[in-house]
Amino acid sequence: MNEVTRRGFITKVSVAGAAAAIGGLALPSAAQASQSNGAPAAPDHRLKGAPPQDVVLHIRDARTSEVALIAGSEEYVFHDRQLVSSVLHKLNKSTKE
Amino acid sequence: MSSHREAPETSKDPVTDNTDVYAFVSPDAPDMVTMIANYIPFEEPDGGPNFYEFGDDVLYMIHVDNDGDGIPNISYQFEFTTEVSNKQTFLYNTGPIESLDSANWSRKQFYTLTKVLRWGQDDSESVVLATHVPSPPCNIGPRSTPNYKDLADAAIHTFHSRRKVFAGQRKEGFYVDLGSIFDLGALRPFQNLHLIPMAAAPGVNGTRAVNVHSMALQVPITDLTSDGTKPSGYDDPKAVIGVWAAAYRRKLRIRQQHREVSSGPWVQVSRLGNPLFNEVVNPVGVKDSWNTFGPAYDSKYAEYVEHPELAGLLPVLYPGVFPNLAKLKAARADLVAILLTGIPDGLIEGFQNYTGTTQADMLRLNMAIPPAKEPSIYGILDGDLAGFPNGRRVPDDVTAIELRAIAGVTYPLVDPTYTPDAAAGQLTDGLTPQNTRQKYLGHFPYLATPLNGFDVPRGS
Repeated sequence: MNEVTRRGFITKVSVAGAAAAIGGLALPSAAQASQSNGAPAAPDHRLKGAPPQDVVLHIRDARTSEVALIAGSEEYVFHDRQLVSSVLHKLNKSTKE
Repeated sequence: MSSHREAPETSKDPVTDNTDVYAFVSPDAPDMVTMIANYIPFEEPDGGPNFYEFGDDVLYMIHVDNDGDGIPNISYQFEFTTEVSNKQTFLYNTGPIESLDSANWSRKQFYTLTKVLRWGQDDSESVVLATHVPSPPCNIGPRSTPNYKDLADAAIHTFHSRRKVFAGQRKEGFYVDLGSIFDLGALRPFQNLHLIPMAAAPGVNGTRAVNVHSMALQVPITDLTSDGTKPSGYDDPKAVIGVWAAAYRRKLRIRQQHREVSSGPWVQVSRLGNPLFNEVVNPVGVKDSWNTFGPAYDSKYAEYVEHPELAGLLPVLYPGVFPNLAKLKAARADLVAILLTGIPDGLIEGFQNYTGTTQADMLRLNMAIPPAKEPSIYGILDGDLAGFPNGRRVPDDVTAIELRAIAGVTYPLVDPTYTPDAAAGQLTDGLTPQNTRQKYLGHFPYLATPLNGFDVPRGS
């Protein structure tokens, strides 16, 4: 898969994934983000209006379906088996192209 | 730079590399405390064309713990923004910089200072203390920065009555024979006794010709105590605060052509309390992770304090010189007290800087102990209760103090039957503040005027 195609793919997945998460779920408080490193918790700012320009989906643990959405200065951590499965399926398909 | 390039990751990220932290009762204002956090090690004065500046994408904090749990109660937050007025030149300045708003100076940096209570906790609150405060330019040379002292003085910002803040370039204040110490622990004045001997020689200051970037803050003692009142005496528990600095980056950095975005919450990437802790106490396998944790988690690292590697190395590197240290196998409760809990009352007359049982690497300053009339660079080891490890003053010879402590000089505090080796109390890399090239200031911000690249070119 060439770099341009992958980049386009990841952007689409990120936005689609983010849209799915925002539309389908109540986002947990950002304060519930992992604090295992002792870093301070970020305040809870639920996304309102149009999504920000850069939204990144991070699959933190595929086994437990733990994902993080990072946008602006916030990170939202939640579990979504369907989303993880969908993303990994697309990734798997893309690496074979 | 007691903590310069001390961990693999921070050595690759100079703007987050916290080199020194100082905390002391101000000698010229004994009702005020000065806290200083330095970053960006080994600034060569002639480092043009871009010279040096704080990171705009870094959050810098000076943290204060006043209830002994290793978690910040009061934090001072610095956030920087660089403004480039002339993008059509490759030069930092196109003429003499004679004021902080000089049109000749293209790349200016400004900062916002915010005081945060209970940082990281659900009931955290913050108040902006100062905004768009200018940093001075780097000291370039007699044509570009002809009256540099005036520029730097103009960058000292006074707010809320007598409180002061400064952020910008200063002369590196830490002195250490880097080339020798990291050449298998050689101390030049004693290297005739080294395992690989050479003739004894004076120390050579590895930081003599470099600058650093410094954030300095001076506030009343009562701004920092747990109840906002003055301590009643040295034995008042609220007299002692723990101080450390930390730097944070956003969790993600997204790079695209022509654009770079930092996103996500702040993640700690660097911190510093006591000098030399992550430099020579922590082994390389934990240095990076240590930098990402707050001091409240430092009991995880206590084993390296209880049995410091350097204490085992000294008898090997200097055969026959440290026979008593070589036999000392007990956990070093003295070093745990100095570095992780503070020294409780009753061990040293008229002194304590104990913050409780939570083991946390913090500079512990007893604010009720006034500045010394005749300071000793060897601090408490020389009977000067106002010196390190009671906080840390700029001139304190923390290298010699910590070497001597690790070599056993302080172990009698916990075991009066132990006799330190005679050499333990003599250890030094041979340097004093006389080797720093510029005299410290007797007033805020205490670190000397930075060197300029014209008069002090590379290799000076």
